[in-house]
This record gives sequence, structure tokens and C-alpha cells, in this order.
Amino acid sequence: MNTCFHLIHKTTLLFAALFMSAAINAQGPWTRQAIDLAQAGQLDAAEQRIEMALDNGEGQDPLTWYVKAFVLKSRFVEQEGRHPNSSLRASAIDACFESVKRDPLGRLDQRRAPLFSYLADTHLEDVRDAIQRSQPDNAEEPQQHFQVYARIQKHLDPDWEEAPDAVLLDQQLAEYAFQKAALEEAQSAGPWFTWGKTCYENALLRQHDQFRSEYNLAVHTYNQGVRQFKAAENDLDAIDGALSAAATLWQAAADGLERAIGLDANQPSGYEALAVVSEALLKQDKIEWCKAHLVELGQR
Amino acid sequence: MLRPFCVLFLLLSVAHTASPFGAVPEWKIRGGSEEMQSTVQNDPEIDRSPIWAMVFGRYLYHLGREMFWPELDERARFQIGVVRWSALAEDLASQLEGRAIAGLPVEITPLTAAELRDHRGDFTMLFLGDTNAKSGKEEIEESLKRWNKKQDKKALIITDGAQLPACDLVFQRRGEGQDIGLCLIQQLENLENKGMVLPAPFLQRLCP
Repeated sequence: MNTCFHLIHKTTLLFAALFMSAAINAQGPWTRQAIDLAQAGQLDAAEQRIEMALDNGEGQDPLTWYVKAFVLKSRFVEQEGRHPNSSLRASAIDACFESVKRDPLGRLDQRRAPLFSYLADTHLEDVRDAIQRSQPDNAEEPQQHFQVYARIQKHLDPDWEEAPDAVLLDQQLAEYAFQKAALEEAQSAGPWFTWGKTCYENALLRQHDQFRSEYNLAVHTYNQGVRQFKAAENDLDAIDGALSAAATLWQAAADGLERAIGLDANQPSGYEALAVVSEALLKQDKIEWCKAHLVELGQR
Repeated sequence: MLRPFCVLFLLLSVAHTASPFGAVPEWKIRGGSEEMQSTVQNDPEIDRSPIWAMVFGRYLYHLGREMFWPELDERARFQIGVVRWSALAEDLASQLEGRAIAGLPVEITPLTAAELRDHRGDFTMLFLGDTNAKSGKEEIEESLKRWNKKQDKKALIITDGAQLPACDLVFQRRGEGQDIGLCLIQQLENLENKGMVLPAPFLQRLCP
């Protein structure tokens, strides 16, 4: 990981030095000073100069806002170590959008796009990290990072659709929750299991990649039942009770798999999983039905 | 794990090199989904544990623990033979590893029907699997008869469904869907001949 960071840092300096050496004639004197200072690696001073530029009438130039965004982004990376709660990054994004507002002809689009993309990508990384910190009923942090990422993506590509990525976020939140459930809820389904279920239900509501959401939810539901059953062995009452509780989850899993198959009848995994669940539920007819479909699909 | 992260960072580094002041390198804006996909975990695998082997295994273990075993002091080990159900034999072996039943170390012997026929020794419990299957039912009955003829066998003989004449107890799967479980059918005469009586928790689970 450190190697990657060093690589980024070195490459950044190299390219920045190359590009900064090009004379820019269009902008005002304060902005030019900011560029010189940034080139010298004096980011704090560069930021002060760019504020002076804005205070002295250079704020009409979209390039000034773009330079501000670039300087703030550099501080975010080099001084703050890309901290997920960075206000510098938020200000850099605001400055980038301000530059857009003042550039109706899109003269700077080609320059802004990489900067926007970079900032969006850092939010995407933070989404991934924040998922690991999510708690049952609380995914505010990853969702906030995702919203910023989505806002930038929509700007970069007006045809960009949010739903696929939003569904992926819900699915990943669900997967994390079920990982925690597997570790912490062997005796009975608890808050992590419920939260994982909620996240997959949220993903289903978005009407995208529904087979995966139904299928994964069903598999986790079945697996939770198996875990619970395995944990019970004290006496016959405990075993029967665990089997009964597990069977309730297995039936829910079977219903979910039926829905998944309804969404995509050509996915062998749906029938394979339903055959496993039906075996637990002693549904011989359904096992045969699954086998017949798998034969039709050329699986067995 | 490190490699995908590095790839992501290398991609990001291209963007980070963007300068406000010079020519911008050719940049293809990546699709959002592709980027999100880089963070995705694999889909879950369904747990293929043999559920009913585990159910039967737990019942057998508790029966072993709670049953009164006549002449147990004559035995050095608590021997469980499992015919035609390798998953059950494996589950019992893992469940009972390092444990004792009635103070005796447990020995699990997986067998085919043919191996049972040729087996000379006795067991404490003998479990016959797959007895409801039409194919092979005759074979297992025949094997059981042949095995039983050799010496005086005292094993408690249990099947997974079929009421074979020589068996003492049947563990029967019951129900379908959410209402599932095991119930028991005892062949009283056979049990009495071996001086065995089912423990109370098992008598409460007789099939209707």
C-alpha cells in the first residue's frame, strides 16, 4: 500500500512540475502567483493567494476556481493523507463545481474531468472503507460518500445511471452485515442478520440486479438457519427447537429462491440452491423439479 | 488483497497527476459501475452441510448417552456402525471426536451393505441408512440377516425409515416445509429381547 502511495506522490510531483512549467497567460496576477507557489510545493501560501485572487475580482474566471480546487485537492492528499472527513476535499469539489458554473461553454471541461474523477474515486474508496464501519441501521457514512461520488458521476456523464451503483452499495452493506451475523449470531438471528436483510430489501426496491439480491438474501437466510441448527446440541428439546427455528428460515429462503427463479429462470444457481434448501425441508417434489430444470439448462 | 488495491491506486494516480496548467492527458471517464464493481465481494456460497445427517447424528448421540446399555461393562469401546450413509458417519465422527459415551471411547465404522454382510464383530449401535430406497432394500435386508447369523449380536439396530424385521428402532423423518422433525417407531418385542427400553425423551417422540 505504501509503495502505491509513494508512486502516486512521485508521479504527481513529476507531472505537476511538467504541466506547471507551461505559461498561462489568461488568468489574473493573484492566480498566477498561486500557480507559482503551488509549483514550488507551497500549498498553504498558494491557497492564500487564490483567496486573494477571489477577493480581488479574479473569481469570474473559471480557471481561478479550478486552480483553487486543484490546490485544495493537493492539500487534501499531501497534508491530510486523504482523510475521509476532510473539509478540504469538500471545498475542492465545491470549487470545481463553481468553476463549472462560471464556464458555460465548457472550455475547461477536459481539465476538470480528471480532477473530478480523482475526487470521485477517493469518495468511492471511502465508501468501501465506511462499509466496514457500518452498524445495524446505520449506513450514513458510506451513503454520504456515495452521494458525493454520484453527484460527480452525474456531472461527468449526464447519462450515468445511479441505480446500479446504489444497488451495489446496498448489496455490499448487506454482505458486510451477513459476515458479521456469521461471526456473532450463531445461536439466533440478531441485529446484523436483520440489517443485512433490510439492505437486500432496499436493493430490491431499486429494481436493478434483482436476481442477485433475491438469491444472495435467500442463501444467507438458509445459511443462518444451518448455523443456528449446528449450534444446538444440549438435549432433544434444544435440537428440535433449533430445527424448527431453522426450518422457518429455510422456508423463507425457499420462497426467496422461488422469487429469484421467477426473475431469471435461466440461472442454474437458483435451482441448485433451491434443491439444497428443499432437501432440508423434505420437499422431494421440489428437488425433482429443480433437477429437471437443471437438466434442461444442461447442468446435470 | 494488496494487488487489486494497487491497481485501483494506480488508476487513481493518473487522475491525481492532472494539472490545472498544461495539456491534460487523454482521459477516458470510467463507468461508475465498473468502479463500484472493484469493491464488490463475492456472492455467498450456500452451506451444503448434510442437514439430515446432522439431525440423525444428534439423535443418535443423545440416544447413546441416555439409553441403558445392558452388558456395557463387557465392552472396551462404544462402537457405532453406520451402513450406507457416509455423511452420517462423518458427522458422528466429527461430533464425537474426543468424547465418550457411557464412559467408553467411541468408535465409528462406516460400512457398505456388502461390508456389513462380511463383518464378523458386533456393534453397540448399528444404523442402517437409505432403507427407504427401493433399490438396494433387499440387499441391505439380506446383509443384515447374514451379519446377524454370525454369533449372538446385541447391537441396537436402527434404520432411517424402513421397519425391517430385525431392527429395533426406526428414526423417521416427518413433515414437510416448516413443520419437520424426527419421530421414532420402536419394535418393542425386539427391544425387550435385548433388555432395552427407550429413555423418556425418546418415548415422547414416538410417531403417531
